[in-house]
Amino acid sequence: MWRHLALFEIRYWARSWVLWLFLLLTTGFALFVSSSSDFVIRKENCDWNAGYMVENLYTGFAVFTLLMAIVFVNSSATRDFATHSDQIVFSTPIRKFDYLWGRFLGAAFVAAVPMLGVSLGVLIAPHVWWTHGDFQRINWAAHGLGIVLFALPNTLFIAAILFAVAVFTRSASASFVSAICLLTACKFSQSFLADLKTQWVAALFDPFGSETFRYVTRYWTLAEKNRLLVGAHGLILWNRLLWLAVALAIFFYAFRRFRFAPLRVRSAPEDESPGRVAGALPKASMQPMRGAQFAEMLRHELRALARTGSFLVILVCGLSIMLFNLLAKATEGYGNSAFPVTYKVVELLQVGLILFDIAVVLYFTGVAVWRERDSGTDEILDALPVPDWLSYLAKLIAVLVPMLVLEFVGMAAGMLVQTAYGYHRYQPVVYLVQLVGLDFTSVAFLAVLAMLFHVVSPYKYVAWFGFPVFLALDLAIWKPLNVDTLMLKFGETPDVTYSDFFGWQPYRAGLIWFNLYWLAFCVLLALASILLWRRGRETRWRHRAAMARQRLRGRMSRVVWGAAAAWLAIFGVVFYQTKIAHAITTEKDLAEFNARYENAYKKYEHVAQPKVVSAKYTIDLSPETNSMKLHCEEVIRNKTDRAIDKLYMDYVAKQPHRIEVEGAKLVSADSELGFEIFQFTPPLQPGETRRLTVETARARRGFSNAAGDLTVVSNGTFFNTSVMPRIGYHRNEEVDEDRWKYGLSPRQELPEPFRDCKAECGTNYLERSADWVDVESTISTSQDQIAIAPGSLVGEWRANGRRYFQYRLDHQSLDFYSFLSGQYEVDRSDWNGVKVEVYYLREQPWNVPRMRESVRRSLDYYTHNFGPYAHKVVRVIEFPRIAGFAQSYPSTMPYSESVGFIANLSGPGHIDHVFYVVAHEVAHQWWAHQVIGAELQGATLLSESLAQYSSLMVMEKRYGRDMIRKFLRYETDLYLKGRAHDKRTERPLIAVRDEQLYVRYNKASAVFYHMREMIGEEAVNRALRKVLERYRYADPPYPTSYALVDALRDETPKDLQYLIADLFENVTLYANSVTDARAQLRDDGKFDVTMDVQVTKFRVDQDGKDVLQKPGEWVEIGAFARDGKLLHLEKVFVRGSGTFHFSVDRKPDTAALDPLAMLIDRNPERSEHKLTIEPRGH
Amino acid sequence: MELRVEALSKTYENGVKALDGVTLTIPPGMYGLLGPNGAGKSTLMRILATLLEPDSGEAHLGDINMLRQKIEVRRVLGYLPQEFGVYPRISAQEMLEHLAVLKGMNHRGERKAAVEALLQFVNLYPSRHKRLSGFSGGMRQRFGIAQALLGHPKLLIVDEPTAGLDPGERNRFYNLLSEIGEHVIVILSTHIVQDVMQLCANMSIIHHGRVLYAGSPADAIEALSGRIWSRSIQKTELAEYEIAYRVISSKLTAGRPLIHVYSEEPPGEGFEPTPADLEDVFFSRILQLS
Repeated sequence: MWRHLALFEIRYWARSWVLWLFLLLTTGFALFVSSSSDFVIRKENCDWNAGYMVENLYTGFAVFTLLMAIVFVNSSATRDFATHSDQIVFSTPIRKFDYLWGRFLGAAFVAAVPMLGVSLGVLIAPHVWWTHGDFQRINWAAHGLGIVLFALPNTLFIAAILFAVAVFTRSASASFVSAICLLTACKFSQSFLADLKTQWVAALFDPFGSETFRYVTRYWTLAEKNRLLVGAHGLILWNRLLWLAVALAIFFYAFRRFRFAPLRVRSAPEDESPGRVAGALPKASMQPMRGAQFAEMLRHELRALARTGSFLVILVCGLSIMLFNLLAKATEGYGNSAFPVTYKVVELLQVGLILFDIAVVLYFTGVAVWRERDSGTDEILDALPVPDWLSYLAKLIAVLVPMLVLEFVGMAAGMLVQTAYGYHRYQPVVYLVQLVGLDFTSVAFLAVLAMLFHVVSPYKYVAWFGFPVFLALDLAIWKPLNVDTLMLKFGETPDVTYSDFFGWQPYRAGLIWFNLYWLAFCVLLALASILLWRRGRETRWRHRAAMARQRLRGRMSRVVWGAAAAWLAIFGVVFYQTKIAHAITTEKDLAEFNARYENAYKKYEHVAQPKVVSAKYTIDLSPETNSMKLHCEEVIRNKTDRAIDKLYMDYVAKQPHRIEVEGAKLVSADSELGFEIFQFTPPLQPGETRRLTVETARARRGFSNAAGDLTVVSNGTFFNTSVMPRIGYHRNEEVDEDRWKYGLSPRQELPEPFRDCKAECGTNYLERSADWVDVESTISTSQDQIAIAPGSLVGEWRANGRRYFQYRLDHQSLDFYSFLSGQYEVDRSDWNGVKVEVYYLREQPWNVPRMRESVRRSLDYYTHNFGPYAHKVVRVIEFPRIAGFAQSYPSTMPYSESVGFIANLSGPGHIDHVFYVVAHEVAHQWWAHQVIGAELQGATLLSESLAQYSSLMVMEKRYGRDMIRKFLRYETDLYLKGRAHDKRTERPLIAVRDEQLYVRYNKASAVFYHMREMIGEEAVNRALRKVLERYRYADPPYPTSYALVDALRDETPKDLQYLIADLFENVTLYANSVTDARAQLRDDGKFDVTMDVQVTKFRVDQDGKDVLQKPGEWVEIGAFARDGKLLHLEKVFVRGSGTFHFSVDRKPDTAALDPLAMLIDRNPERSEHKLTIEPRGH
Repeated sequence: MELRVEALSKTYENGVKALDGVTLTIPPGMYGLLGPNGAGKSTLMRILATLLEPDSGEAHLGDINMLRQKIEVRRVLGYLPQEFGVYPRISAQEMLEHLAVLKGMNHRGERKAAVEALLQFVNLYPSRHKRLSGFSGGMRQRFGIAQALLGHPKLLIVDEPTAGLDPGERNRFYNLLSEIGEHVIVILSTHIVQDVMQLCANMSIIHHGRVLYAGSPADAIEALSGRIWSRSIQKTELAEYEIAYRVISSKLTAGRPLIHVYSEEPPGEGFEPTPADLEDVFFSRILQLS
C-alpha cells in the first residue's frame, strides 16, 4: 500500500512543472559554476570537473535542497488538509504506516531528483562553447559518492524534519520557519570553525556535511584535488550516520504522534437563542480621518504580525544568531583576542541580522499584501472609505517596524556584550549610522521592491519566487556583462569602512547621494504600487490600468511627477559623478588596461636605465580638502658602462603629473597608459648625473561608485612613492589570471636563483630604479596634524596656518618610502641613543606600551646578533583600517589600526601578535633595508623569511617556548591551507615565488625554528651575520637565496646536512604518529615515560605527488603536564619507528613527538598521545 | 436621493457576460434584486460597492458619480458580501472596532456603544471575545450583518443576507432592515421570492445580465392576475404537461407535483385558477412568458 502512495506522489510531481523547473535551475547553476570563471564561487584551483569539485558542489547544494524540499515535502504532507479532503481520506481504511511512509518516501525521492542537476551541469560543462576550463575524464565515482554521501542523506534529513513539522502543524508557514531554524543550526556549527581545537566539532555536527567535507579536504593541494575523493570513512561517515539517525528518529517520532483526526476540534462558541428585540441603534458621528485610520491600520497590521507564530519563531532565530555571533566573535581576530570595538561589533550584528531581515522582507511583505485576500475579508475592507495609499503605507511600515526595533535591540545587545567584555567606548553614533542609517534603509528599499512584486503578481507564490530570483540576477549578471555601476544594483550603495581616524568622511558624499538616488527610486516604486494597488475584485490589467489612471489625478499626479523629477535630477548628479567625472574601471577594464600596458612597454623592462641616487621631496597635504601636491627633485646617474640615450617614465594614468629631465626632451607621451619617453641629448654617459624633477597631485572631489581615491583622507593619510612618476616599466601591474582572455601569452616568470649571479642581479626586487639613495623631505599638513616622512626630524615650523616638518635620512636606503599625516598622540622613548616613537590614535592606546617594548627588545636582539641599526629613530605609526597590514619602510613602520591597535592580550596564553608583528617589521630594518635580494625567484627568503625567524627569536626570549609551539601550530595550519589554495605548484623556499606568501612567511617560521633547534641559535645567527657582512648596503650585484642557504649549509654539521635539502631545496612533509605511550610512577616520585613513535617523511615532486623518503632523521620527543607545560624535550634519531624512554619530575599527561610543532605534519593531532599511567612496581 | 444605473455592462475574462445594459432607478427604501444563481446580481452589487469596474455604463448615487468618486460612495456605504472570511486570531469585538475606526467612528465612547449595540442586536454579545474563526456559519453571517450596519450607511447593499440564518434571526434582520429602509437605500439580493414580497416596495428581476422586470411587486402580480392556473398531477405526466402547457413551476405537494401554468384563457379540465404570487411573476418572467 505504501508503495502505491509513494508512486502516487512521484507521478503527481512528475506531471508538475515545478519539479522540472528545479532540475533545470540546479543544472543551470552547476553548469555555470563549473564552466565559467566569472562566477564568484569558482575559487578552486583544480580541474573544473575534478572529483573533488563534484563532491564539493553536492555538499554546497544542500541549501538548495532545503528550498526545494519545502515545496515538495510540505505540499505532500499537508495536501489533504489544505484541500480539506482530510476527512474523506481519513475515513478510508488506510493504515497510518502506509499513509505516512508512502507520502514521506515519495516526497523525499522527488525532492532528491533536482539534485541530479549537479551532475548534469558538471557533465555538460566541458562541452559548452564559452568555457575555457581545464577538464579531466569524467569521474563517475565522484558523482556516485556525491549522491550517496551528500545528496540523498541531506534530502532525507531535511525531508524528515519538514515532514514532521508539516504533519504536526499541518501548516505551510511552519515549514518555512523550520527551514530558517535549520539554517540557524548550521550557522551555529560553523562558528566552531575558527578555533583550531574545535574545528572537528563543527565538522562532526554540520547537518549537511559541508563543513565536514571542508575540514577533511582543507589541506588538499591542487594535485590532490584532481586525484583524490572523499569516501565513506572517518569523520564523513560518522557525520552522515549521525544525521541519518537523527532524521529517522524525527520521522518515527512524527509517526508515533500522528493521528488520523483533525488537529484540534474547537467547538463554536455557545450560540445564544434570540432574545432581544431590535431597538434603534445608537447614533455615532462619522468622519473618516486619515490619522486615525492610519494609526488603526498600522496597529492592526502589527498586531496580526505579532500574533503570527512564524514571525515569533523567526524573531527568536534572528535574535539567537545575532547574539551567538556576537558572543562568539566579538573578541576574535587572528585566532586571538581583540577588544570589542564598536565598528567590529556592528559588523557582527549586521551579519547576524541579515538573515532575519531578508526572511522578513521576503515572507512578510507577502503576508501583509495578501492578508485580506487570504482571509477572505477583502470585500469588506475594500469597501471602506480608506484611501489606497493609506493601506499601502500601513502595511509597508508594519513590515519595517519590527526590523527597526530589531536594529535597536541589536544595538542594545552589542553594548551589553561590550560591557560584558569590559569595553566601555560605546559609540552610539556608529551603531546608529551603520545599523539604522545604512542597513535599515537598504532593507527598507528591499521591502518597497518586494511590496511592488506582490502588488503586481497574480499569486503570492509568483512574487515569493520572483523577488529573490530578481535580486540574484541583479547581483550576478552585471559582472559578466562588464557593467559595473551601483546604479543598476537595486538598493546598493558604495562600500564603507568606518575608521576611528576619519569616521565615514571619505564615503559621506557617495553614501548620501546613492541613498538619495535609491530613496527617490523607491518613492517612485511605492507610488507605482499605490497606483496599481489591488482593491476589489478586479484582476484584468485593462481595468487596473484604467484605475491607475483614475488614481493619477489631482494631488497624486503632482506627487508622482514631483518624485519623478526629483529622481531624474538625482540620477543626473549620480550619473555625472560616477560615470563621467569619476569613471568606473571595472575589473575587466583594469585587466585590459594592464594588458595593453604590458604589450606596449614590456620591451623596455630590461633596457638599461639610469638609477636614482638622491631625492628631495616637497609635499603639501591638505587633509581638509583631501588633496595633496608632491614635488620631487631627483638626481639620476648612469651606473652602467655604456651611454644611455632614452629615459622611460611611468606614472599613474589620468593623474596630474609633470616630468622634467635635465638635458633630455620628450619624444613620446602616452597619456592613456601613463608612459613618457625622453631622449637624452647628449646621451647620458657612464657615471654622469642629471636632474630629474617629477610632480604629481591628488584631489578628491565629488564621489564615485566605490570608495574612490583614498590617497589623502581627513585624518590618517598614508601613501608611498608609487603615487608619483617613476623610472622604467613595472612588472607588478601585469595581468596574472586568465591571461588568455586578453590575448596575452603565459606570464614570464622571474629567473630561477643561481650562484655567482652578476648582471642578472643588477636590480633588487623592491625598487628597480635605484640602489641606495639619500632622501630629504619637507612635508606640510594642517595645524592639528603631524606629518611623517622617513628619517630623522631636522626641522619643524608653522607658517600660513600650516605645519611644516623636515626629515632627512640618517643613512642611504632603498628607494621605498611612505608619507603619513594624522592627529596623533606620540609615545616617545630612547633606546641607546635611538629614538623609539609610537604614533597612535588617542582612542586606541591599549597596545602602545607593548609595541614600544617590542621595538626595544627587537633592537636588543638584532643589534646584538646581526649588527648595528643604521638610523637614529624607529617609528611605529598607526594608519586607518582601509588596509590591514603592517609594512616596513626605512626607519618607519606604518601599522594598520585593525591589526594590532585593537588587540586585547590581557587573557593568559594568547599569542602576542602585536609584539610579533612589530618585531617582524623592525627585523626588516636589517632584512630588506640592509640586505635585499636580487630580482629573482627566492628573493623574499632573504627578507620576509628572515624577518619571521628574527621575530620568532625575540618572541621566544620574551614569552618562552610554550608560546612558540602555539604560534607554530597556527603557522603550520596556515601553510597547509595556503598550499591547498595555490593555483600553481608549490616551490621550495630557496625558489619561492613572490606571491607564495604561505611559503615565505608561514612555512619559513617552522623551517627556521627547525634549523635553530637542530644546529643551534648561534650557528644560525653566524650564518646570518655572514650574509650581512657580505651584502650590507652593498652595490649590485644583489644576493640571491643561495647566499643564505649556502651560509647555513656551512654552519650545519655533516649528519644534519639533509636538513638543507629537506627544508630549503625541497618541499618536505611528515606523517608522524605516537602509536602508544605510557608512564610509570617511580619510588622517588618521578615518572618513567615510554613512547612508541613512527616517523614518515615524504617530498612533494613537481607534479604535486608525494614521494616517500628513506627513513632516518633527528626529531624531538617530550611530554607535557596537564597544564600544558613542557616537562621534557630531547632529540632522538629515528629510523622509521622506535621506542623511547625518559623520565620526568612531575606527573605527565601527554607524550608528544615534535612537541614544538616545527615539523610540517598534516595530522598534527596524531603526534600527541595521552599517557596511560601504570601503577608502581610492575 | 436615489440611485440611478444606466446601461451597465460587464463581461468577465472567461467570456461570461454578467451584465448586459442594465438600467435601473432605485429610490430610498428596500429594493429587491431577484434572480436565479448566476444572473448577475452579485456583479451589479459589487460594481455598486466600488469593487468592480464595469466595461461601460454609468451609476450615480444622488450627485455622486459612483464609478469615479469611489471614496465618497464608500463613506456612505454598508456592504455585506455574499461570501466573506475573517482574520485569524481576532475576536468579533476587536474586528468590529477595527472596522468602525476605518469607517470613521473616531469618538471612542460612541464607537464602543455602537459596537456593543450591534453585537447585542445580532445576538453575538455573549461571544464577543471569542475568535471569529471559531464561529459557526450562522454566527459568522450575523457578524457580517453587524459590520454592514456599522455607522448608519445611507446605501446598504446586502448580498444574500439571510443565507445560513434560522427563521427567527431572519425575521429580526428583516425587521431591522425595514426600519432602516425608511430613510436609506437598501439593496437586497436574494433568490427567495418570499423575502422580496414581504419587504420590498420596489424590485427588479435579473436574468442573464438583463433586467426582465423593474417595478413594484404588487404591479407585477397584478399583471398576472387571472393567468395562473394550477393542477395536481401524477409524476409520470409531468413531461406531457410541459409540452402541452406553459408550465412555469412544479412543486411537490404531499408527494404529488402541483404545477402552475400560465394561460390567458382557462387551460382546461382539472386546472383551477390561482391567485398569482411573486414566485409566479419570477418564473414567468424568466421563462419570458409575460
